[in-house]
Amino acid sequence: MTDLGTGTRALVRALLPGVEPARTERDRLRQLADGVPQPTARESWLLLSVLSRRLPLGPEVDAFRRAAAADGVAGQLAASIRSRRSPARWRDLPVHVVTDTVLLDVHDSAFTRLVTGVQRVSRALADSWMPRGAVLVGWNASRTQLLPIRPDAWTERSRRSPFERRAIVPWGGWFTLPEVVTDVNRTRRIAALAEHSGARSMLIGDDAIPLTTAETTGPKMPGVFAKYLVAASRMDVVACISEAAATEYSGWKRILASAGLEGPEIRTVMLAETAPAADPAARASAEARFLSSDAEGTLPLVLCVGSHEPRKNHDAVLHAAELLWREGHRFSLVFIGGNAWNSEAFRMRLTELRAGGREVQALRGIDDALLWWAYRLAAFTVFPSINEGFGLPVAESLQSGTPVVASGFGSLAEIAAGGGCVLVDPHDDASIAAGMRELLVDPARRDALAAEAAARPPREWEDYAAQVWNVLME
Amino acid sequence: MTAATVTASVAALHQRLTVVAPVLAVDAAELSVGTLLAALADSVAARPTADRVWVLATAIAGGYPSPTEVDAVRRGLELASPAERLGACLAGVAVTASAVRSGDITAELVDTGVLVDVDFCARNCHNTGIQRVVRSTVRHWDDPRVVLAAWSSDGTGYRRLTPGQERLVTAWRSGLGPATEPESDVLLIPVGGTVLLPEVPAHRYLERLTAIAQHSGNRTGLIGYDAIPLVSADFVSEDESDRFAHYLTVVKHSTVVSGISETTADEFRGFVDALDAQGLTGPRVEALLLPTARPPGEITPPAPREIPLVLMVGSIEPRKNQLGVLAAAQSLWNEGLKFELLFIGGGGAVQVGDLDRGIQRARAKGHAVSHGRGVGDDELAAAYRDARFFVFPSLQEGYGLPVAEALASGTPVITTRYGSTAEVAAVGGCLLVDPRDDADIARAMRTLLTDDAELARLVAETANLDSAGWPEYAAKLWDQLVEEAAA
Repeated sequence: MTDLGTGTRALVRALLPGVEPARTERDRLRQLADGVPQPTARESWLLLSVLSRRLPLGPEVDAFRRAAAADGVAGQLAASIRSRRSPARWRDLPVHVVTDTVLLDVHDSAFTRLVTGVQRVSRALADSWMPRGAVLVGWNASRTQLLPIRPDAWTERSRRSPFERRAIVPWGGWFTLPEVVTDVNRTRRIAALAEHSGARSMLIGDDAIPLTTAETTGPKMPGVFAKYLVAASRMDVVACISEAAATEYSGWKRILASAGLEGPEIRTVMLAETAPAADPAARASAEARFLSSDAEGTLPLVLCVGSHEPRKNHDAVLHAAELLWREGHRFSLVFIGGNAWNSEAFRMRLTELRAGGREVQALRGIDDALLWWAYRLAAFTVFPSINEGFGLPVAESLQSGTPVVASGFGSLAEIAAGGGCVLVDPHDDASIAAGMRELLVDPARRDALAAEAAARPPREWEDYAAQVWNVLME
Repeated sequence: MTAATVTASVAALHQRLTVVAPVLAVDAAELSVGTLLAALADSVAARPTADRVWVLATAIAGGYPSPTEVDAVRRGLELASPAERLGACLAGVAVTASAVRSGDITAELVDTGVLVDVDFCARNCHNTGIQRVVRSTVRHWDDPRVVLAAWSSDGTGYRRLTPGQERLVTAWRSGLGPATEPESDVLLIPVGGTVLLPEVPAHRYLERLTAIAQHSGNRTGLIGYDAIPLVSADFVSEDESDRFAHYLTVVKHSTVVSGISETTADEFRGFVDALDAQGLTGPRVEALLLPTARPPGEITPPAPREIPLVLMVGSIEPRKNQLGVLAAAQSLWNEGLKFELLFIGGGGAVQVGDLDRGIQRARAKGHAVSHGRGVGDDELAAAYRDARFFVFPSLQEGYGLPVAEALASGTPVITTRYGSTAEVAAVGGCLLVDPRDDADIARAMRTLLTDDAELARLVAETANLDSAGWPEYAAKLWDQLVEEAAA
């Protein structure tokens, strides 16, 4: 990391290459006023970032450069410094200008113990990129400053004040955002950073579901996601986690042309496909937890992993299962995943089926050791999602050697192309039931698919992170 | 509930079921309401296609079901024994049935008709943008299949327009007040025909509209205006973007979208491209450029002026780029050029405040610049014609009505070099600029302030305007949304 220092010294070094910063603040301000009398948007962005100690919003950048053009830059420099006098700004740290540095914005991941798909990506990139010199960054409380995360705090997963006591602003270099940001204060500043900092900027494109499948998303999500996409539109490249995600982002990019925006380059780096070895010590408790039996013995386990949000289509899974139970098929059904919005109908139907004597349960808060066994104990998993950026549970099931009944399009079909899956139409309950029935009545078919799954080579997270790094460095 | 209201509600239910019975191949003659309901449930259970489930659910509830309710009724019927079918139907539509505020809703079948949703125009007196398109188009559709409709006030179903609403839609004129008659209590049930959405429906209708587009078996046709709430989300509220995303769910299941420009059509094509990831094909997307129309109001000869007038019309907001125009004007005033700059348009307090502060600063330096609000149609028309040129470097437009209106007034235009404004400008009379470059805007303004020959050339080009008007647009739109959709 090259640190040009803070304040007007850093600005002279960044904006007036070859000019030695003068000794006094006053003289350095004069150097800047003479050197950039008509600041461009980029220069205005950096001047504001450093002098006001806040990453500016796009309209603030425009106001700065227009006022400088109309009335001279000196007055704007002074006004930026004056803006810090408000008590609300006293906690803003001096801003270091850094060049030639890879910044990885993992703010949310630094503060959560959740391990969703997004967090897995953030962790994989951070763990792989730190040894390559990347700096992990997060945001201050008012979401106006970028702060480096201490590597030891990240490694130890310490979630209390993980930040260094200084703020940074990139000037050139690289900036990567692996998280879906729902905080509008942060997305608006990231948008301006991507547009003006000169850093090569990259976003990890998980999916565009809040835009393309709004009927399945939580309340308010499409509105904040639209703001996140504004930041995406200013990036240089979106590294999508599947071809399906790239299809969504390519469609979105076409829409941008109406505003004269070229939009980022759309690339695909498929997510990793791994499942750790299951710990033998956990087997007995996993069996006790997940397996059920009837008079004839242990029931084949059908597993469905994912939160009970509408997009995961769990109502359809319950319906298909009931059709099959009524046909007389023997199996138990286990859902692993948390509740989400609009899951009341699912819970109610589950309760009815259990009251009717069906072997079905919905578990949550299952730790990873048990989850890996659940995949291995299952006869097959079922994942008829309406839309999915990747579908980690499908990849994990297959790497555990367990076949999957999955939706026959999009990212799930991409994963399924490598073998081990039965493809169904998730909009048609009968099709889901047919896929499940096939694996329940035809053990040879199930075993053949299990063999296909077992033969799939894993794709490691380290490889994923290295490929994303290469896209960033192009 | 009194015995009388119960009797009325049962009679209304009986009427609704009788109306849909032929659609579901049931002979309703002589059947009591309970027997008829059971017969309909049996018929749908025997062949539970989505359109049949939708019709039955609508008739039972007295309003249109959500997609979740259509699933619930279908699944309920699939698992129910004959004795349980009635309960499955009633349980499935409970949410909509309880949202219907009157027990006396009867039904009218719109059989293979063209139901046109003109809800906003029927309820509101505004006449800008979308309303002008809808009112100018619908009045030319005199096909007997057309049924103009607005939503019931509880938002559960379409009603025929009241006479006052009809007037607002087909005979709008300035000064017309809102309709005050009570709304009809006859629910329109469209089957086997077309539902047209020439407006962008309000958020609260979108879920039921999704079910209509996805399940009802009617073809659905839309006018696509723009994707501004998505692309320019930084300039609109989160609620507006949210509503637009849910509108796209209706689009996703519709039959055809007609964009008001190639640019807009391309936005919808981009969305359709993205649908491949979820295994859907989406609607066919057409383009039909809106006609250029002369602004409403009387035309009087231009008033002689001492210094030239430069005009910008449009809502005051960052997307329209008034601040870019003001910055460009400032640089030209600094060069010593003399002209008056007039902004016309309303807007939010923050946006108007930003502009007005900039205007105050320029006036303090002695420059002629002002902002007109609440300007009447005649005054607006006069401004269009009195202006030496019109400037409109908007960052994003679905069409760019003010550009067309300026050209129709014989006034040259400086506008954005890409998107729909570039399409409108293709007829001539325009200079194109990069709206994100204040210096480029200033360059074009300087040309039209100082180069009389260039100005005259552009004025002459405005005569090239296509004379095709709303009747032609309405006829072509009908072909795209109704005839070709049915083919």
